[in-house]
Amino acid sequence: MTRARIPQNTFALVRIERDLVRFVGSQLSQSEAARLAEGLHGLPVEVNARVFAWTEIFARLHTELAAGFVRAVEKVARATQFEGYEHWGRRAAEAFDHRGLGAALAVINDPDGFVAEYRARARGCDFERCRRRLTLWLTGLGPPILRLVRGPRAVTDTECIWLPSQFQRLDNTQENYRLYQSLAAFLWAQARYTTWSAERLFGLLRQPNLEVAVERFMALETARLVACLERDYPGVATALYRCAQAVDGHTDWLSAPARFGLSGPPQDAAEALALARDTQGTVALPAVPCFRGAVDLSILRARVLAGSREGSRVGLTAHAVQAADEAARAGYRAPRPGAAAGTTDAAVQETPRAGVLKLQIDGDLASSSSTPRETGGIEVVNPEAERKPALLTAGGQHYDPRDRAGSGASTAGYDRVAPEEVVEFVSEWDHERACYRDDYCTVRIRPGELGEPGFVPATLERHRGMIKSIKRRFESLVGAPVVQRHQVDGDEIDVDALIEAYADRHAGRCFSEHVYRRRVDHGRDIAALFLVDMSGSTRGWVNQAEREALVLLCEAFSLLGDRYAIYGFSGRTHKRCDVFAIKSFGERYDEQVKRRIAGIAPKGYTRLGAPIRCLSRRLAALPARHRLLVTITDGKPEDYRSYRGAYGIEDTRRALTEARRSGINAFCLTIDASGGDYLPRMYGPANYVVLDDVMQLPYKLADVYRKLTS
Amino acid sequence: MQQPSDLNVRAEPFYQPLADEVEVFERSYRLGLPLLLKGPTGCGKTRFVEYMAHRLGRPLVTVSCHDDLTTSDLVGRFLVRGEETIWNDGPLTRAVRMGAICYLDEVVEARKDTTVVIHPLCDDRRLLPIEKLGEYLEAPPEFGLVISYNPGYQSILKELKPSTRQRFVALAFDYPEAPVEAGIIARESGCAPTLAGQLVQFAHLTRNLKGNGLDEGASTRLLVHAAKLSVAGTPVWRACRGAVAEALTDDPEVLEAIADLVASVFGDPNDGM
Repeated sequence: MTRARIPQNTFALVRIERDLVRFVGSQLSQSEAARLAEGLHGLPVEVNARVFAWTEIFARLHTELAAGFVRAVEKVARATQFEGYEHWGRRAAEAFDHRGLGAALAVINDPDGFVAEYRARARGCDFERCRRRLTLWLTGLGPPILRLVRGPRAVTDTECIWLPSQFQRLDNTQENYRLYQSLAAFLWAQARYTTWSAERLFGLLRQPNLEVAVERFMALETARLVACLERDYPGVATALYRCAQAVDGHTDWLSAPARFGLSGPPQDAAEALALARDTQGTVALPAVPCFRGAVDLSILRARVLAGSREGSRVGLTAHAVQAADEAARAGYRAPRPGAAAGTTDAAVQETPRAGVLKLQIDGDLASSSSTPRETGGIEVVNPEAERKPALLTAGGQHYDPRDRAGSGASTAGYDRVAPEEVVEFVSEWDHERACYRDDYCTVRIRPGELGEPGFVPATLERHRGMIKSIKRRFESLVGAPVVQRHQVDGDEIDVDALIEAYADRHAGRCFSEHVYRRRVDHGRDIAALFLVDMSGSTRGWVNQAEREALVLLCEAFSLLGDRYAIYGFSGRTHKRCDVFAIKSFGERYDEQVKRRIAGIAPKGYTRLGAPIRCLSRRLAALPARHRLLVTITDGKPEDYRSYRGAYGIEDTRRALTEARRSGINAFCLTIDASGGDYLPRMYGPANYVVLDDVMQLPYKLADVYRKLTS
Repeated sequence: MQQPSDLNVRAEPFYQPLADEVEVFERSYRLGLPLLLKGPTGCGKTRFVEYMAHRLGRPLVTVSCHDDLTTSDLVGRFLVRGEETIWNDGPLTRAVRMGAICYLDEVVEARKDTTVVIHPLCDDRRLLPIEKLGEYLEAPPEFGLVISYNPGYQSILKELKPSTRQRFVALAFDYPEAPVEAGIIARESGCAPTLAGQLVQFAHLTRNLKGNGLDEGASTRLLVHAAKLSVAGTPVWRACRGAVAEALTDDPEVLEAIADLVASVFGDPNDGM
């Protein structure tokens, strides 16, 4: 390699080489490092910077990962238009987080596989991205309204349509979408033009050679359905033709009726079934068109059984029962509203009676009072009719809410969860990786501990004078203004009314008194959540001040009628973020709440991001015009080990941004004198207050709330 | 100063009766009963009133109601001109005086304390009290009052009070049956009957989305716009996008879905159709 060829600044090149050696020195030879440095040097500046950051991250995790990354990143970056390399890095990092070094190396050492997949995704259809558009379009086509669900194959049970989550058969996004849409259209058409009914389904299932019968039936149905679409939705039919030409290169499926001796498509599905069943000898069937999707008799059967109301008895063959097993394993999960637990699993058990199979549901033999019918070997009783009255959990145990010991199963190696506790998993933002660590933090929400009963009365006594003035100031806040015109008195002159009154006066009539405008309060619609720092650093007068401030606030709130909640937070590491419910939205300010305020005590660390995310979700779900999140803290977000400095601040900032996006205004009150350094970045330049004197906290809190909500 | 004849509907407007609404209107008018027309936007209420005014040979006074409409706006007020004050009749008073048909369009938009001014006109007194003149104006037999509103998406704050509603004979309007609607579109726009039929089918698909992405489906009026554009040379899919889709919604995904529905009826524009 000759450096003389390179016209760039050789200092930068040398530095890259040196950094590579620093990060992955032992894994790379000098010549390899030099070669890679050249390649990296040629990348655009911003890509170069991100590659550097990722290499640093991987170097911290394992040098082998870093080596694999630098070896292939230039290729991946160029092959994905400088966009996919971060996805690749992210995937490897997540694999390391969740499954360890081996999984991460598998990703890093297969850059070609990643590039191929990335390119395919870019050109293809993604279920989540397409779902709303497809749903709206199918709704527009008219009844029946089918639900779109993600599944392994394109198939329907006449109430749901399953489509694959990634779909790419052609080279162009639009073409792929059209084919995806055609799949959905054909599946919808099966419901619209009643391809499937209980009679037809079981008529098919009784055929000795099931596969042949189904293929014949579908070949005829394809021609019929396309003809119906051509008549009613010509554009949809045209799209099907075009897809067939583009993908299959032919429209042979049009010839299916002729192969059965028909001059045109069958009149209805019953005719198609009769032909499929009764035609003797072999019939050469046309190739299956690309838009046909698959046919799954087991889920159709499950839908038919779920739909039958009266506990009717249906004869089935062994084929169908086997198909039922396959359905249970196939991964189809159509949301069935009202389906009771334990009615979907069916198992087959051989019994001594020759040729007769009994159906088991939930481990119990489905009992029948009469002998199996002539047609099949099996009697299936409608599971609804046989359901046991007690509620069964998946594990088969009875659930008793009084049972504190719970099911005995631990949650991810954590102590058992008491019934009043709620465990949630929230993501965390890693600003270096520029992505979320999904479900990284375990948040436990439980009621706050009770403190001494005398705390609140003592506080009220101590701050008696202040409470009066706070209350008075809050009184002015009640109501959101609406202007009423033509009033007898008010804040402003109603000019229109005044002119009229003047004209009337001129005409010799009385001067009307209704010449004012008034702003009238129509009721506030605010929900506020106060998040109180319970970290160890609040021990002492900070904790005292926090508790007193909350008491005063609650007293003032009794005037306003605003909905408010108080939660404390603390924790240690991402596995244990504690949130204490002091007062939830539905609770009144009663004795329990007062004692919980008294019981706010310093605990662990300050991992702010997780409680903000968790509680923002609850706040956002409340129907209120204004939502407010006020954090009371004594310092920077900091937790054991890595949650400190920029990482903690960036994660908190991200959590607050998410909250803002869901309509929540966030504000912070702090006693940290250096709050001005980091709070503007997290909360915004105008959304925080640094208190000089912590004893001012009660006054300030009430004041801030008043300012925020008026 | 406007003459009553200025307010006559000169040319007969085209109106396709759907049921017996013409007869009901005429009979109610002759009996002195006021009328309430309710139905979705763009389904022919205003056109119907124009048609009936022409048919009955009466002038038509239309008031578009809104939140700031006061009683003075309807009844009249004194205006100061130089040193004199002159009484100015409002549109309602004018209509009563000249025996016209007064049409209050979207009456729920007006405040309820304004709407009550029409109560004395609507019962068998048929009186309009003008407080400022100290006058009780008796409506001649030729006077008729018609109000309209869209019951679909009004909030509960904007509803007709029962004391108002129950003074009227009500006629419910809706989009016509497909062949009738196609005939109206063909007649209004001059387009071919096939195109009219396809536009109606497209409208039906959008009406399936009501409550599921759209507040209202495409109205007959929008279809007439699309047809007119198409006759003037705009490709039909483009006409549907501009005249119908973009008028119905701003949501990009819903717009895409409506474009798919256009393609479902007319074929994909990218296929050179």
